[in-house]
Amino acid sequence: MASIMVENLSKRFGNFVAVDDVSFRAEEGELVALLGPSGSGKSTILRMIAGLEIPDRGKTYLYGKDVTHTVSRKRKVGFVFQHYALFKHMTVEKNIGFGLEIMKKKKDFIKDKVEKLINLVNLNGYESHFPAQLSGGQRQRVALARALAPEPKIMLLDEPFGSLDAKIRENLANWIRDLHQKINVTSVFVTHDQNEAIKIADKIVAINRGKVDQIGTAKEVYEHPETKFVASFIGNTNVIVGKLHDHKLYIENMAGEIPTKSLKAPKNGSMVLLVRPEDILISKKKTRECPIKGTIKDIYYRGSAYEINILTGDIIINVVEEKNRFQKKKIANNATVYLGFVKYNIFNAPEGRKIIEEKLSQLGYLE
Amino acid sequence: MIVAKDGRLILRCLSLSYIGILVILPIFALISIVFKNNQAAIWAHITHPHAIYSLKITFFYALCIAIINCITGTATAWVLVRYDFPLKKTMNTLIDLPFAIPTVVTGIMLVTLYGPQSIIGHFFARNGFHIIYNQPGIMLALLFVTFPFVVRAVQPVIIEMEKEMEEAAEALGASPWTIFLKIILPTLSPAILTGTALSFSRALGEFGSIVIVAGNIPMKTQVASVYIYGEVESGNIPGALGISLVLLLLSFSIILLLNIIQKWKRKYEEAK
Repeated sequence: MASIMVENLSKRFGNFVAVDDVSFRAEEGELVALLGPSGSGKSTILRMIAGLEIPDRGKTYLYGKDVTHTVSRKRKVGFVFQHYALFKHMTVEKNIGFGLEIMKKKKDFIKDKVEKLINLVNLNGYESHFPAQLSGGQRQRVALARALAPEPKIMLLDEPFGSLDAKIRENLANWIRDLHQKINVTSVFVTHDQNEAIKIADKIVAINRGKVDQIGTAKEVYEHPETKFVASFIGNTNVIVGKLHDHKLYIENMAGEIPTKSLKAPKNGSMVLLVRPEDILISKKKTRECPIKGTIKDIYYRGSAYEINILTGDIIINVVEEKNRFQKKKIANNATVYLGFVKYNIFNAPEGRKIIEEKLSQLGYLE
Repeated sequence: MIVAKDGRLILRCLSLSYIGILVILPIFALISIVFKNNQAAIWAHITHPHAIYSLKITFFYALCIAIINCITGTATAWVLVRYDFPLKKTMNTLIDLPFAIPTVVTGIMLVTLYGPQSIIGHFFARNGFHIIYNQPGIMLALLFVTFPFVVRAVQPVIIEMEKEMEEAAEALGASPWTIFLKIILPTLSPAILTGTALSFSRALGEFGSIVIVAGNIPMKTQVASVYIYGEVESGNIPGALGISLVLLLLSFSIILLLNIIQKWKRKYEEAK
């Protein structure tokens, strides 16, 4: 039995369709990421699971029980808000103990439990501080401890690290991953950061314009994106426009052609190719794998890898290559190189045509 | 640099002397003249039955309207922020009217509406309930004049209050009543108290509307400010001084109370 199951959830705000026929499930103990750009409706989905928003259509089940019309306070889920929503007039201790007080637990029990949670979130010494006296990361940890206190079986986190800076974000994300494994809960978190989702989620639900685009493990979604949207959203992607003719892909304004024996949709016509920077090979000589000619424009050092911009025809292709491999090639700026695509996703019209039109209008060929 | 430094010094001196001349000096003048006069005589004036009565009803009605304002003002602010209804903006503007209308005009309006010659006043009077030239008139006038205080003190706090705080409490299992008592009320209470204290101190000194609505009937509708006016009119300066001093001390303690509230409020709002 799934811990969380939503079926055909839909929600409008006025004329705006925020969530459109969304279904997915989270198994017991799973950490699920709702991934999508801002305004895609992912927070609304989370709020509907928590009972803070009532869906226009569809059903929500928690542990097999239909809770669609159950008020939030009876659903027993932990909710962590993006902006923490701490009780400003209460100390850290009182904030964390609030849920237990509502449950009318004994004073000693609450004291004990709060102490344990403060240990868990590393806030010893801050018991009698007010939220205003804490840093962003500390506030977020108080919010987490507060949500965990009543021992919910389901945790919902709305952009839990959204307003923190990069370093704290990463630490906290890893910490949540560990915590999730330590205590037995099913968690759903909302994020717009694909790296975060890939790093800590068991399952990713990619949301676009209120609809589910793809559901899968991090690996599946990253390596086999099912739509152009997912591909371009998950990771940095080169968008290349080309024409398919006799099983060969001719790329517009690009020197060279790509054999396309592995294409899923070998229709002739306009195509859009999505290639990840790390799926591109660079060679100093023209080979069967690397048929496309280009010129090195920029080389950036990125720690364990190099990021290289290569001009081919009149488009810039972004390539990422592992540090040692790139250094061995001894390639400098303005050198001529040959490129090959190891892996790519290809989409045809109408999506492809739309992108071509956008591309052309960007270049000034269309009004 | 030197010029800027001098400029700052001059500005500081100017504003300090301005406050000194405008606010502190008159207060000192009153206190010192009280000390120059025969204090026993002043005390006798303060304890005169008419004076005591005027202070009593002033204090009583100020307290009444403060309590009423505390509830109606908070509710009005809540409705204005959280709910949508037609003419909301117009309503919001109307809240400030009692501050803008001269209080004497307020008095005239109330007399016109509730006076014995009006339909409403006539109806109540026939059933033995007199509003104008009576204590209910004092209450009505004070309520009208002080209405904006609590509304305008509480409104910005409700606007700023994150709705998420209430949602967080709800998700933790709190009922609407618990949310109101434990989350909303503590957040609003400094502002509610500030507004209430301000309307109380304003009610202590209200003159213009009351003199029209309630008249100047000793032991019935004569409030402290009207009593002082009467004493001055009849040339009894020590009598006016005594009651003035009492009102001054009351206002002073309210300001002190407000400061304490502000400090308490700052405790958890600091370091944002």
